[in-house]
Amino acid sequence: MSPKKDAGPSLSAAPASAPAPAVAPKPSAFMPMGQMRRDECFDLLKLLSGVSRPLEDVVADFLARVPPERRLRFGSAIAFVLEDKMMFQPAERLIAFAILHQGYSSQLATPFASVLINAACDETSERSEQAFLHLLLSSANRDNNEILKQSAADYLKESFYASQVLLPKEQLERQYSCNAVQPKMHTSSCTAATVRCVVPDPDISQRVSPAKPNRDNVVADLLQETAHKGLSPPWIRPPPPRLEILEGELQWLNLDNKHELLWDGSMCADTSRGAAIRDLVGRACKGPLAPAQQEQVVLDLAKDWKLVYHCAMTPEKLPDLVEHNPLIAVDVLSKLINSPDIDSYFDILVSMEMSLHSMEVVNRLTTAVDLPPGFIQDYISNCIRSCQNIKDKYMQNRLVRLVCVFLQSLIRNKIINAILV
Amino acid sequence: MDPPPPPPAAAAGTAKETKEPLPPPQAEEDGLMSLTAAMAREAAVHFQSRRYGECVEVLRQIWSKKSGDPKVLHNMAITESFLDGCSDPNKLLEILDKAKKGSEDLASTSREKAESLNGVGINASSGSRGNTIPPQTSGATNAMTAYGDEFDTTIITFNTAAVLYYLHDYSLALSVLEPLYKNIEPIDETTALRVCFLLLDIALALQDATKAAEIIQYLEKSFGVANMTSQNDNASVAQLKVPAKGSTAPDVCSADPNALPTGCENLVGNLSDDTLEFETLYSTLDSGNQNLSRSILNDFSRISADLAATAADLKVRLQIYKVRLLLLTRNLKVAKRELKVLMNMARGRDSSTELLLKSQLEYARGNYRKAVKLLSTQNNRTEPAMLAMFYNNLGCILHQQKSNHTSVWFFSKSLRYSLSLRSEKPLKLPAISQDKSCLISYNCGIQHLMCGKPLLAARCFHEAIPLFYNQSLFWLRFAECGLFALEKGLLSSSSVCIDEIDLHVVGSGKWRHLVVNPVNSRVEDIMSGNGMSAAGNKSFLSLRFVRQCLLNAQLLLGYSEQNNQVFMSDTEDPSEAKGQGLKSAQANANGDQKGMTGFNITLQNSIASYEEICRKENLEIKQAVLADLAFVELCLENPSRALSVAKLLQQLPDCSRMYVFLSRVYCAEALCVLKRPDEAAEELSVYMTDVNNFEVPFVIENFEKGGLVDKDSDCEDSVAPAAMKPIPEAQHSVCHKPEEALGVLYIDQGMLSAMQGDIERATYLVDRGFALLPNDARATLAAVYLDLVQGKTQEALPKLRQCKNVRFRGDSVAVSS
Repeated sequence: MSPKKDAGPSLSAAPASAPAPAVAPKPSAFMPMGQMRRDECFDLLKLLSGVSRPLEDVVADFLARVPPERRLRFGSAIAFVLEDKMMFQPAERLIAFAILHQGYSSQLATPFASVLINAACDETSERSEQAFLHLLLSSANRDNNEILKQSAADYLKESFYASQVLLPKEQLERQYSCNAVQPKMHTSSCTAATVRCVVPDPDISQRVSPAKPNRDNVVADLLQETAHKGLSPPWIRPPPPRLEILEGELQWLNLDNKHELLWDGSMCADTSRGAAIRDLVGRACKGPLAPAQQEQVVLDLAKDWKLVYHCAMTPEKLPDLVEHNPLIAVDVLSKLINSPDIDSYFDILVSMEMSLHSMEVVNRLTTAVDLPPGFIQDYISNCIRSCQNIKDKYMQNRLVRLVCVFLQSLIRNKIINAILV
Repeated sequence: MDPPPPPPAAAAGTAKETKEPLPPPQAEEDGLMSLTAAMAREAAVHFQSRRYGECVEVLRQIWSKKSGDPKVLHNMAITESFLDGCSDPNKLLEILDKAKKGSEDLASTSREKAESLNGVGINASSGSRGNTIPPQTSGATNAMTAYGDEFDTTIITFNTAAVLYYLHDYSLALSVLEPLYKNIEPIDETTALRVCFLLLDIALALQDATKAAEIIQYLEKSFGVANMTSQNDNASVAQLKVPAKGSTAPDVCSADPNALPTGCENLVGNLSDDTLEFETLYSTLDSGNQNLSRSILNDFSRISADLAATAADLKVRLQIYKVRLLLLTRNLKVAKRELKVLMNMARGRDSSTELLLKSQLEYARGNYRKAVKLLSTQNNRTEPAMLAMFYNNLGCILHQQKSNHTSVWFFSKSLRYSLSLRSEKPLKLPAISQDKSCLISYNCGIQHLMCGKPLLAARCFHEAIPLFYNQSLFWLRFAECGLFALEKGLLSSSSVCIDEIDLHVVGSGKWRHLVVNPVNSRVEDIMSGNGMSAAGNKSFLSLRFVRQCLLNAQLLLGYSEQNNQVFMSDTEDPSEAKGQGLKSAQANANGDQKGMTGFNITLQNSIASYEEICRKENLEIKQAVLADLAFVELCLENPSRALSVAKLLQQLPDCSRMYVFLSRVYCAEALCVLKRPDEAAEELSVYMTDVNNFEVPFVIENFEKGGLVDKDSDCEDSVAPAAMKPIPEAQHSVCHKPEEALGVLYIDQGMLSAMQGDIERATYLVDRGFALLPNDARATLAAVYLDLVQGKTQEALPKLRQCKNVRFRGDSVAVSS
């Protein structure tokens, strides 16, 4: 039991550190669900039987003996037993209610408010009990010490309770809910429909009035019950099935491949090689290269075709390259065939102004690489359109002849078939 | 950047010796550059011949001349990691990151400089062309080829990804390597190949079939094309009738072979070849252009010979990846065919990989005995890594054979071997990469779950988190552990799973009372028995933890869903959408590669069907996650959350009828708790045929997966189809029987009616339900509840007496009389 000494019988002395009522006592391996021990039960019963002591003394005793973290458990056990009106004698019931009401740091936040209110409005109860509860409940500002100062037995003897006005339930509830931040008791429709799970053995027909010691044993047993909630409608909540083990979910292990870390060969390396071809390709876009230079480009690319990505070539430069150095253009394009940019190169090629050189490039490309489908058709239509648009008769003539030669070559190389065109 | 420790004096001395044979700098201004370049070549040679100690020495000298150079820093870190087996991979990653940032900074500053000089820089560099080393020097070490861009970070990026791969951080490795792959064309072939292979391994580790297929197709295309274009090049060059008569030798040839550093003995062999070629080239060019094409042809034949040496190897490797991909996509027929091709190719090679793949194939086909046999032929069974693999795979096979307990034994054994790799101190990168404990732990966890040991399973899953944290299925399994434990009464909040009625007789004589208590039978056992150890075990498992797991799973599913939706909106058919990338790749690879296209189509088909499988599995996972989550929220008394989750489940397209049923029951309960009994009744009313009768909410077929994979018909061990699978030992996984579900509907609707005050109807419904669920404690409880509500204790008692799941405590004489 708690060694903590309460300063006095008044409730203000109750330790402020009382746990939030919603927090259930921690379960331990020895006392599952914080069950009450047998000796605790009898202690409590002894307290309750002190009918001739002033109520506040009994309450103070309760506070002194029961450590704060156990009070919720005690309270709910008391409330559970209170449900059966035959269990306690009327005076004992009053003491029990007083404990429920006063046993918490602030009676406003008492988690048993609803229990008290229900009991106060229970028409089947004794009038004295109802009045007592009304007095307790209406004393939010703690001026009710008067009743607490008397003993339960005295209260019952005096019978002034007859004059107490009984308020309707709603009013009491309102009174409580407006200034209380108490956690909502589970007032769902499920719990509202709870029935008492304790039933007198139906095989025994008669009952006698509360008397010891048989009764004490029952009460002690009931106090020790783990569940004090009553029996709510047993809703079946089917547990979700476990997902079957999926195919391939288990991890099959494979031999690992080695990926050795690589040496960076570009460390302190000479960068002129790329520069040379960059330079040449740059020049090739500006004007025809000397034959030796052409060879140089072709050779360099032949040696390492990946250089093509390092000679600063862009689709925009292609028309110039085609016009000035068609052979280099063919070479570059056929090397770039896997480039992600190749489509834009082809787009430019198709739409660039038609010329002898561009035709030469296309003609060579047809045999060198796989052109995208539709490319040839597009290019030919472009050629035909160009021929139509030329005003100069002579030039037109020349161009048409060129296109014919081009087509002839395509047909001869089986790039296109005559039927298609 | 922190400079590496200065080289010790002795080391400097030896380095001086090696330096001496180097040629003197040719020109004053180029002095430093050519010196470091020569030293760099020397270091490279040391590196290639695995003399890492010497290599580091040389690198330190270079560092003293080019302090702060990111590439030197990088190479030094790489070499040192080879030297000590890479004992601190995280530090290596840090250095790599630093080197990469350094390179990028240098690149941006040099770009700015070049822009300001406006082309001057280019001229200057081309001017120095004369005294450069011929590119062929790098031919000795193909991997070293550098393309002008001295700030290129390809290698650094690759190494970073490789280290991450070894650390099993596949998603990060993917994100690092992916940009390289996106722009792979300019990368030299050797490095590109390595990038592809690494990416392939990463993709397979991530089970990303689409990505793996894309890379395989790229490899086939680009290496097929590489040969093809060379031929085309020859053709185009031959057409080049350039009058080169009397032209001076091209600049390339002005590189005097004598200028080569004589210190590099290792290069000599290769160099002499190169010199020879240069001379021939020189003469052919000199003598006229007629031979030009021929010389180029020679050149090409040399390259393709080089390639051919590795080509066979390359083909085998690619084939291995193909088979692995096909196994991943569960296209077993083609996998079998391709594996045969691989076996033919790999004759005479170390065939352990092939044997393992074959074993995996037989495992996947359900030929378990064959799989075990193949697995056992593995000769190398001494290393812990190999043993871990062996036992793990054996465990997988036994799992399929439903010997769960043996399987778990093998997995545990495998785990022990794998964990032994971790004991090595300091822990080196190779050991880390071999440590597959996470994967094995996952298998172990699954198997414990199957054996009905959720707490052990949870502990295994906990170990597997580092590798599986981004998989929704994993979190679902983790949650299932918790739910299973809950059902078994191993969690503190186990009162939610009621399977027994505890009837406590209190008092005596005339005071005798009965206390009706719904309980979970197993909770008490644990509390009274080895309660302490159970309490120790459950440490982190709780309903809240389960909820967190499920939320994780939901989050991950949502993410993948978003990705899918993008595809959905693009095209009608998601599988088609994902295949698009492949198709466009394939479109380029038409023409000469028709032989390959056939395989590509197969590959695409198997990927499409694999995606379909994944989609179905995802749906199953999603259903399970939502159902579990709704259940857990109900247990945690969060009815509004439970309601919204259950609604989500209900609205899931293609949701199976069993899950729809669950979602409705959960919804109804949540609504009930939320004081909306009318809506709750509405949820259940869909199964009503008339006022008081329900129909069966689902039939059993709905729950079974259809045969997603066509197993080969020639399985030797007759594999029971999914429908005939024996019921797993753990009851938890048993799917609800339709009749039971019907009983649940009656009981729950009965309770609803009771709450609504219609006791008469409630009694009728509960009676119907009770008849369907005679042995269910909850049904009995419902009937008893109704009796108690009506004050008919006399009628309640016989029901309790008849129920199997009632336990009497206390003075039982009275009740049993």
